[in-house]
Amino acid sequence: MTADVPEDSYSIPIGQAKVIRQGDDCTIVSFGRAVHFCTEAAETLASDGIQCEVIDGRSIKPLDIETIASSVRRTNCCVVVDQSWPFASIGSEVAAEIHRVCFDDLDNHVHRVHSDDVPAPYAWNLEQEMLPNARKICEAVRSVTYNV
Amino acid sequence: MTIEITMPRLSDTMEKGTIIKWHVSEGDEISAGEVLADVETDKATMEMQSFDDGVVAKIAVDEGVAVDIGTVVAVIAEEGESADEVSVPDSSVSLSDIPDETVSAAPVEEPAPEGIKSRRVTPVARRLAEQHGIDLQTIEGSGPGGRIVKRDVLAAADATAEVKAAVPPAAAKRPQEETVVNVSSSTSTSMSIPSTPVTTPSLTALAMTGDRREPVSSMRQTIARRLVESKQEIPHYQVSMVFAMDSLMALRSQLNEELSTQDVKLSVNDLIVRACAIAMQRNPLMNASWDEDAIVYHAEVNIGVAVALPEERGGGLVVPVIRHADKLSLRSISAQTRALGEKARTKGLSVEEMEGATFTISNLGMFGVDAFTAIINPPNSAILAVGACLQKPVVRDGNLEVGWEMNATLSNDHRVVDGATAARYLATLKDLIEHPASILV
Repeated sequence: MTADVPEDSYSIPIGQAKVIRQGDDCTIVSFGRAVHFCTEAAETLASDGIQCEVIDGRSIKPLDIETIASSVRRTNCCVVVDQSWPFASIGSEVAAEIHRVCFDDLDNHVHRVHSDDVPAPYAWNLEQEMLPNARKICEAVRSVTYNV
Repeated sequence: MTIEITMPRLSDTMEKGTIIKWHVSEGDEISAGEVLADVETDKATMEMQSFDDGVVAKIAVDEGVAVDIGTVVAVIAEEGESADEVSVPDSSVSLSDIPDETVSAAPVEEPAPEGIKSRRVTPVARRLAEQHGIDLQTIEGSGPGGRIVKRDVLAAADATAEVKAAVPPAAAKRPQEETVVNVSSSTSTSMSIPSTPVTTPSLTALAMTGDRREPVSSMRQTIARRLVESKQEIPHYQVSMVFAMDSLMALRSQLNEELSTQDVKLSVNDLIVRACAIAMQRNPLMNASWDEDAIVYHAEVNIGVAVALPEERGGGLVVPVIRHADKLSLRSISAQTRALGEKARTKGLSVEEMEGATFTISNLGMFGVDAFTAIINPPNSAILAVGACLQKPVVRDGNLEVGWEMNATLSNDHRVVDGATAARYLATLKDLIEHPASILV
């Protein structure tokens, strides 16, 4: 993976999410490393005609629910991607907030992509399969937009 | 012991009934013969009476909800029995059997009664439907379990917009472009837009803001269903004839003049009813009904006379029946027609008064209509559409004169009545009308 970085010192604002890809069909919210899987999935989905808006939450608490909500109000569906186990996770908390704030704007319940709810395997190939990845995100987006 | 009151069969064609008004409420003491409710059937509004004494323990069906015959609408507890102890049967079983058409027929604004399957709609789909003025009952859901989702509503909205755009024939190219824009702005370009059954194109083409959508009455539904059935199933054809009305008009004014003291005022229609009945007697092949594998030739000649109802009674039309019209005097026909027409317009007719017609007459002459064709009123095989009696230039014995003429068009069921039979019937009718002495005697 390659990308440009600023040459000078810079800071990232706290509590301000960043829309890193624009789209009208589905919002994908993620944090940290999993954001890269989201953009990868968004590219694949775009070739199928599903335009995803990818939001990098950047900070978890404070959570920039307003940026997320304004996107969901437009796309009406949302996938939260969180590289951790699903139970009582960052992803479950963010999904709950979206349900609370955007209930009347949702066309489906918020779908979540997490690590599988199993002990993390040591084998590299099994671990990749267990973590969130572009394939799982694509599946979730197709499901949440009723394109299965 | 509790007594279950079920939706009674109040006419032979009744399949459902609607409680228009409950005259009792839960806890009321009632006695046998007391009116419990007004029931609207496909034909008329009738009273539903109690056959027992007791206490109304439960009213199971709300006003305005159509239910099948046999559905429990109320439960009566017998005297001495506490209404509270009564176990009320779950009416949801019979209610849920109601096909969707009933659900959509009920006013949409009203909450679906318990037991009727509610439509699943996502929050945003519901909101969009409101914004686009789309009736959710007309949409099929494409989501899991038939859930109506955003794209279903947008597809319906697009379909409406497309039809609208497609209306001007000059703009043949533009609608296509708009279609593409609509689709991409709605969901996404490659998403399959489900083919959604929206309202008919002719209606959506006319959809304008400010339109009023009114749920139809039972009567309007019956008219719609029966006439569509008739037009679709019966191979209609029409035979038309012009009658010279001079003799009949002269006879009518003479009779009315001489009988004015006896409260007799014959209308042209009364004479036509009588003439039709006698013509029917002479052409019994006309007095018949198609019944799948047989033709039923009727023993009685019962003539139905279509009566338009005034707007304040909800409009529509009913067909009161003059029974044994071939055996009645003109005076009786006139009196019965007038009484039944009056009752239809003011109070409404009972089922008996509308049953058993073997032939129907529809007369629009009073509106100045020259000629028209009517749709057969099943199970009749023919209907006579009568136009106005008008003064016209006529040729008689090679001379041009001014004479009274009337056009009548007979619609026939070709399964029962062939063209020659219908023509003979009209010829008989012409003979009777042009030589009206035989109508009298």
